[in-house]
Amino acid sequence: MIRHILRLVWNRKAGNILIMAEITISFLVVFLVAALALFLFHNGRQPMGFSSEDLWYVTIDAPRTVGDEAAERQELERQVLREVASMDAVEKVAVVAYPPYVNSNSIRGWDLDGRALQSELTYLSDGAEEVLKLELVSGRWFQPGDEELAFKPVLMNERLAAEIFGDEDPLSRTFADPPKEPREGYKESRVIGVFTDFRRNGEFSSLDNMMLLRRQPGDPDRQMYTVALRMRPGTTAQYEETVLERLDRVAPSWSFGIRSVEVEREEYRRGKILQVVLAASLAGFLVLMVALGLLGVLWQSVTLRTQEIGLRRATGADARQICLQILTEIMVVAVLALTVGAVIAFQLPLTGLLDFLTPALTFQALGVALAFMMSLALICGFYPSWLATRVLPAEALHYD
Amino acid sequence: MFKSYLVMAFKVFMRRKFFTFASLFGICFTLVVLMVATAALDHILMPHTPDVNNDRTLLLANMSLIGEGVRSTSSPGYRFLDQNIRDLPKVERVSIFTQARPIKLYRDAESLEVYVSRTDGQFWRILQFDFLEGGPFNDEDERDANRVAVISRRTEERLFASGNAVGKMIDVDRQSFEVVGVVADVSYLRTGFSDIWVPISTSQSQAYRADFMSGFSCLLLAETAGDRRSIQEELASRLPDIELPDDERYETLVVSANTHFEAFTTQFLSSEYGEPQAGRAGALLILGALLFMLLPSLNLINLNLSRIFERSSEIGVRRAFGARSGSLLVQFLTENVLLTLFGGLLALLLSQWLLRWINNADLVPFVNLELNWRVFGWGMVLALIFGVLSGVYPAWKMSRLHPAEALRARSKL
Repeated sequence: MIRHILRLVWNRKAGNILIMAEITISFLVVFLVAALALFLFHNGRQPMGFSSEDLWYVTIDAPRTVGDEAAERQELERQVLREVASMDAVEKVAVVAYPPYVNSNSIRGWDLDGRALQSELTYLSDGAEEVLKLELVSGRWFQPGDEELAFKPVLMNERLAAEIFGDEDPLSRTFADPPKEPREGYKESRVIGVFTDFRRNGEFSSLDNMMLLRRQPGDPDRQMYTVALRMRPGTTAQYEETVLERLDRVAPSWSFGIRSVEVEREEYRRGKILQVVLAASLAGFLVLMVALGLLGVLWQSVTLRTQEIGLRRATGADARQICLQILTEIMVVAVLALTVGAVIAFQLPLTGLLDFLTPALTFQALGVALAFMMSLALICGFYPSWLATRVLPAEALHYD
Repeated sequence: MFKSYLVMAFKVFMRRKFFTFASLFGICFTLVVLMVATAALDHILMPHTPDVNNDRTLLLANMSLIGEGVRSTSSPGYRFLDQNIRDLPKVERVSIFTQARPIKLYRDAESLEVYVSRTDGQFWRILQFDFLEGGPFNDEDERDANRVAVISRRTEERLFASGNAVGKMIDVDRQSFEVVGVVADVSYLRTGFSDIWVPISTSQSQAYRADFMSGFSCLLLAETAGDRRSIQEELASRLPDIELPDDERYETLVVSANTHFEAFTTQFLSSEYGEPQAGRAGALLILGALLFMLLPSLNLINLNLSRIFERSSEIGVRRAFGARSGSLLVQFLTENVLLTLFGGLLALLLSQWLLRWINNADLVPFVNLELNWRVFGWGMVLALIFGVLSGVYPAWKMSRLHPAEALRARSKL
């Protein structure tokens, strides 16, 4: 029977190719939207690694300084930190070079046995883990006196540690080749601890490598632009003004801004959800349009084939067989189209345009999109095939 | 003859209503999406208040210092702009300003977030704001560091319930400013966006004057649109001679003065060092629109093709009486274009409604998208392209039907 149906499909190849093209493209659209939604869903279930509640940060708008002025700036930095720490509503304060939801970042790339590796990094002052509420897996955090060490202490998230060291214990290991011409004062980097994660852009952001470096107090190369504050639970936004006023008295020549991480998180979430809703409604309308079109085309083709169907009925086929024939024809076209679509979908990650498409995600999205499109084809085929069963052999043949 | 095409088309549309509905649905949806996208692009790219001169302006917003293995990218600093940009030839005006930065104003128990931009006097000459009350500040205010401010209508409403803000005082960064002007709200996506504008020199510290890098943007007004190319070249030729800060680390300076379109495209197409990619962006936009139209076109082509046989009697008769396939092609194409144009009008109404919803729902804060005659024109052009794109193949197929075949096919129906 399948051979017979394949021949039927082949006989109408010109029309069928266009229908196939339509199904293939719709499939790709559904695939992309499914991939995006699944991506965000999976990320949303992974821990952020830090706590955004009652976390604020202060931004400092002050020029970068060199030479003598740098010493002045360092003194002012110290005073600002002391002032913030002395406030009633502030539990703890730390310098975090790139706080959560801040739009700038720093990425370091290096070569690991011929494999290109990349990681985001941020600088933390001692005790920042308590401000951000980061979770340690093994090893230790930075502590005062670490500048005396013979190496540069580094902490990694579990993902990066696993990527570099696999199952081996990362503690006390070094991971980057020394530069060819070591500068003066060069120290090699060594892992002193592993933490769960620090996903700066919150629960919907991608799972990436992250490493933490220590910001020494008063480091002239790492001037202070952002300070993270762990507030007492229940501190309201009105307190922001108090913070700004007091900072202004300490450093009148700088200007300060203050943001609540929880508020930023809410905005970011809303933006991400809006993205998915927009993509999904766009795809939804496209698919609805395709469904209407497909229904129309199939309907028309059944009308045109009244004679053929009447003949089959006359030679003894029952309604069920007719219905099955029409449906199978549609499904054969759909399966051919979806096979082409799946092959294209597998090539998409290779183009590098969609960097979030991992193999696992591709498979899941492929499954969702295939199931969706098959049911769509079935639904669209159902009415025309039912219509075909209504053809009365006598009438159909009489028509001529 | 054209009239008979119209009558014929109408009859065909009414004959099988499901098909007309399916076609119209696809056409409408496609055109609504394209029109909303067009409205957004028009809003971003075409001259609107305040940058009505954006066909003559160049924007310097990025600067990169590049050395062996290091690259530092930020906005240009005041010193760099002040020393190197003002004397470029064929430049009519130069304005240095800071991009709008959010600050909080605290009133009683609540905090308001507003954007503040620091500008010079020329800013108000290059950009033409729509002043509702008062007027701008000028170069003297900037020179004397007068505490004056221009605020947007939205800010006036939020701060002064009674209106009439001119002459009243506002606090920004714990300094008091006298309001001298109120302007109509400016979109977030346009050059010059902010809620409050104050002179640069009122900054509490004057340290910015010594900065080579970071903090500022610069807008140039060329004498004519055509002069912009030579200004860009002149700027590029000057860069190698500029002395760099920290020249042990950095060797090369990259600064580009971009037209409005180039500045827009560099945000999306990041090239090495942010060089403009206008050509590529234009091609991508057109390609994107065509790709988006591909699926709806296929859908419409399939629908139209499947209806060929329905029309075969008509085709057979017309061909038997000597109609050329060319005239049949024109007739069927007309029908399809007519349907898409009708769908286009419908889509226009729908997009009007959708845009109002988008604006009210504040999906993009501080942005007010609207349809104007330009967008309407583009929408109709898109509808036409779509109609021809989706109509040509079925019409060609139909017009090629052999008269004898066509007449015989009729008997089968």
